Amino acid sequence: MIIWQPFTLEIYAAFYPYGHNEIAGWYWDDEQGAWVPYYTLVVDGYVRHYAYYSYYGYGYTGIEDYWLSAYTSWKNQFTFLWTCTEADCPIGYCMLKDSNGQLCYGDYVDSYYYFDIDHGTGLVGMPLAWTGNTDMAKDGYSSPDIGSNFYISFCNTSLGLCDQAEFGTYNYGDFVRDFYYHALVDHFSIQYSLDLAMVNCGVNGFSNSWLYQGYYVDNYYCKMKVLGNSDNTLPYY
Amino acid sequence: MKEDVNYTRREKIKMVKTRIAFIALFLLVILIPTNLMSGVKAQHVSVAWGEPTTIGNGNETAADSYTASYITNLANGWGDWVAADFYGSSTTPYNVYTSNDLVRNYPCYDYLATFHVGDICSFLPLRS
Repeated sequence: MIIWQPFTLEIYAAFYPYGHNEIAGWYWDDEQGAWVPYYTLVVDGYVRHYAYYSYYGYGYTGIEDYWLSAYTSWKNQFTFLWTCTEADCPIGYCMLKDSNGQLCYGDYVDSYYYFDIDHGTGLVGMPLAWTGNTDMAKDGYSSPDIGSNFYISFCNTSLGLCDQAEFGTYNYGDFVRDFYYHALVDHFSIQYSLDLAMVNCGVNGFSNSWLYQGYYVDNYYCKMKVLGNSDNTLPYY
Repeated sequence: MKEDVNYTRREKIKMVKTRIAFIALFLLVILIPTNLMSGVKAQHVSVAWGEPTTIGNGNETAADSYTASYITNLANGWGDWVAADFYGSSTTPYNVYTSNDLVRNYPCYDYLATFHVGDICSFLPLRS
């Protein structure tokens, strides 16, 4: 039996311990022979949107997906967010019952946006807010699409640029800077630039990196998501 | 632009000044050099954003700031790129929205690449 639930509920609950759990629906449990509730975190009774940069300003509440989408255009072709959660898939993980009868994360189906019609709060999901593209490849690194957009960020917790997690003497700041150098100055494709930057940091290609393969932070599965077309190159002339 | 807090007159004046200052800065850094140097050729824009992170230690903030600066310097010296680094106090939602709006509305720009770093893992609900 599969039920669907946004992947980020618990991690958000951890960071923002307000709100409360409500029954979001029921599913039939074959083993128990009964309907069992599943829960969702409700904050202020509204749909939760994605946001970042909420610290500065005079009461602004961060860059929010819905508001941002009003200001972006087809010119937003390359977006790199080294931030937490901004590549989350609003309707991402299904939940299953494990052998102990506990709910756990199951299969992963990634959709990077949806439109909240029920509550009328509009677009949900930062990738769509930045690109305006509803048809980006969900693994734009291994299976790029043929569009003009490229979007990269993290599902759940990002790593620090000082973090040397999978490197010896290098860190993720070195990786990012090297990536930009190859993409911009060498004019290599985004995909090749990601690979080369990883190789230069001592990992055998981006596909073998923790960023791409995924890693755990506080038992939450995290990874870097590459959406769109990594065959693209940054413009030169 | 959304605002959901009741501001004092002094705060409102400060906000207006900050907004005007940002637009002026953006135009000064990107728009004017572009028009002076490029004629009618479209330019590619790179903008870096970031706020000091609350995780880790000062080293992380320094690395974030350095990387934003590195990317901006790289783009500024290359091809038909113009770039600006707004890491720090210029990184506000209003400024991010406005910079997108400016690039969108000026035909002399044909491409926007943005880099963002240093979030505090925020999530906020939409209000009524």
